[in-house]
Amino acid sequence: MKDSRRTLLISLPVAILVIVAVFPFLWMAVSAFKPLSQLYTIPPQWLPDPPTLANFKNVLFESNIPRYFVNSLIISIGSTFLALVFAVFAAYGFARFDFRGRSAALAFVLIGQLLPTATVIVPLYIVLNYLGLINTYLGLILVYLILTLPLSVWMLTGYFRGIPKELEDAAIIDGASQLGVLFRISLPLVTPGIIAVTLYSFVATWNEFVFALSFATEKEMKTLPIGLAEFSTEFDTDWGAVMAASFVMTLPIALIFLVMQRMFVSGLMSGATKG
Amino acid sequence: MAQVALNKLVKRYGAYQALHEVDMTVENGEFVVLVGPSGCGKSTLLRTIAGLEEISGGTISIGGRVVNTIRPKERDIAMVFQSYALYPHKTVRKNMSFALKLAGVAQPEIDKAVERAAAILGLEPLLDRKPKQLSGGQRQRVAMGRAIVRNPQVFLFDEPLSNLDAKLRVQMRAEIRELHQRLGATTVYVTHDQIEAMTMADKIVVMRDGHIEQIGHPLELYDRPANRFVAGFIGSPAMNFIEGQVDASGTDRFIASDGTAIPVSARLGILKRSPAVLAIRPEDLSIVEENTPGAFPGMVSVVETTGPETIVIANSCGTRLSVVIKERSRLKLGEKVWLSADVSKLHFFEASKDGRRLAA
Repeated sequence: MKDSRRTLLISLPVAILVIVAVFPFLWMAVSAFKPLSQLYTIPPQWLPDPPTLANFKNVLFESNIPRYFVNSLIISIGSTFLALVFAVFAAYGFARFDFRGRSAALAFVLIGQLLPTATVIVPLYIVLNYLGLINTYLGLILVYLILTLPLSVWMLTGYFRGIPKELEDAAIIDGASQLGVLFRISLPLVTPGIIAVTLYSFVATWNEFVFALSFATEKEMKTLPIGLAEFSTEFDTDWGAVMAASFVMTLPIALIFLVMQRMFVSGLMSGATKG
Repeated sequence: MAQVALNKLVKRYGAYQALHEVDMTVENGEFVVLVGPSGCGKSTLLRTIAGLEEISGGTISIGGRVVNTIRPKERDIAMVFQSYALYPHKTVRKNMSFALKLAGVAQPEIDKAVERAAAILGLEPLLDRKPKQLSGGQRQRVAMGRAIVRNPQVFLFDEPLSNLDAKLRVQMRAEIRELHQRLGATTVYVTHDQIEAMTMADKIVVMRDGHIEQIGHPLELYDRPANRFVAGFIGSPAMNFIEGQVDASGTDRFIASDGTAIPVSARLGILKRSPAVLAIRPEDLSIVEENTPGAFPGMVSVVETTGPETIVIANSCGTRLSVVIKERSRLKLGEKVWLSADVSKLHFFEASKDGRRLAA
């Protein structure tokens, strides 16, 4: 009796959470297959009847979405990769080396994160413009680096700190150089951290709107979130196309999560030292 | 194989001095145990020999070569860590071959060395497992295997057994000794466990607060501790210390601070009337009949039975004295007993802070 009540106590909030989180996603998926006439019916029509691919045809062949998709891919992958490279070295340094001003520097890394986006847009625009990086992949990649690097450094620092010092001592005794220790021993052991940072960084840049809107104004450089907004015009919103484009935009994220979920294992460290 | 020599070795961490001009020599093929309470600098000393810590002064030489600034990998040493420090993402085989691989040894030779080490330690069936699939004792053995694969000049052990349960510890103790006899490698072994030190060492180095208190053969330390600290650290249960002074007015007696008289050797005349500490090992005390000459009284406060022997703790001479007796005891708490000390096995130390041994 008590047990079932407890189960209810746990499962009810979970169920609410799941519905709140999943319903919009399902509604988007379902709506993407609906013809225009069924999108606005009251009461709502739950399943498209008959399902149509017209929205996808519109999005994939008659809009700029495919181009935006490629742009988003290049920019997100580029900035995620760069963030990883910088974050690995920075975080390892913060985690392992004792140097003057370390904690101050580590705190300072986060300060950039405290500034409201709106306050940095203009300065960033001026800098990018000066460097000739407006409307370039590199421009947005660098801007997104500012966005994701601080938190990536912090996350990875924590993971690196979790590696026992003795493990690295053992590798040094075994003859590894400092870089050898990092790449052969420590880095493989922070795989869950690398994955977490990759997910975070990719998702954050994939969905980013304001910077993309400000710094990529030409059609050739626009990213998906901007493309989505383009379906809304002054007079009308093509909800069917928005839903289909959203669906397309969600796929890579869902795919990454599916692939990485298995690698996101805990307990990678077990067995290193006395457990 | 090689000799390890430390000469006036100093290690400072900022203002804190961890090692004070340590002088020590480990002879070729010798098994030396560094022992002391935690924070005494023994692990720091070992890490400086390994090259994991830079030194602030003095010299370290291995095989006649000064290695002060030489990197760990060029010192030709291997180290076994307290936590085993196995690489969790590598199999046992890869754990053991890592050092050779980094050294650029050819694969067939690596395989041979790993197989040989695995055979010595009985690790053959485990070679393809990951560390997390091993028990504590097996992990310990892999850590040792990783060390012996390299055939180093010097083995360093940093409290390698302290994570094992008591039974396994005794077993591994013997295995490490056996391994040492077989390989004959110079070995420096750090432990806080004086029983490990006593049972394993050719030579024990007792440390405290970054100083070496005494170096010697285990029984030498046991029979002639250089000072009160060594006396109290080596041996279990610990030595009894009684404060008082030698009184040679009539018969030769030591008068404890509470007035209890304990007969001592007549040769102690020189110590007359100056404060001193009389030290007696628990097994050199016995429980005797009331009218035995020289017997002094005590009150039983604890009786611990280990099976082969009984430890009786008695309030006497203004302190608590441990007595180890072979026979089973029917003593009850609070019972009055008469104690007698073996006059030929008494130790005397200065009453000062250093507590140096007094000639006797």
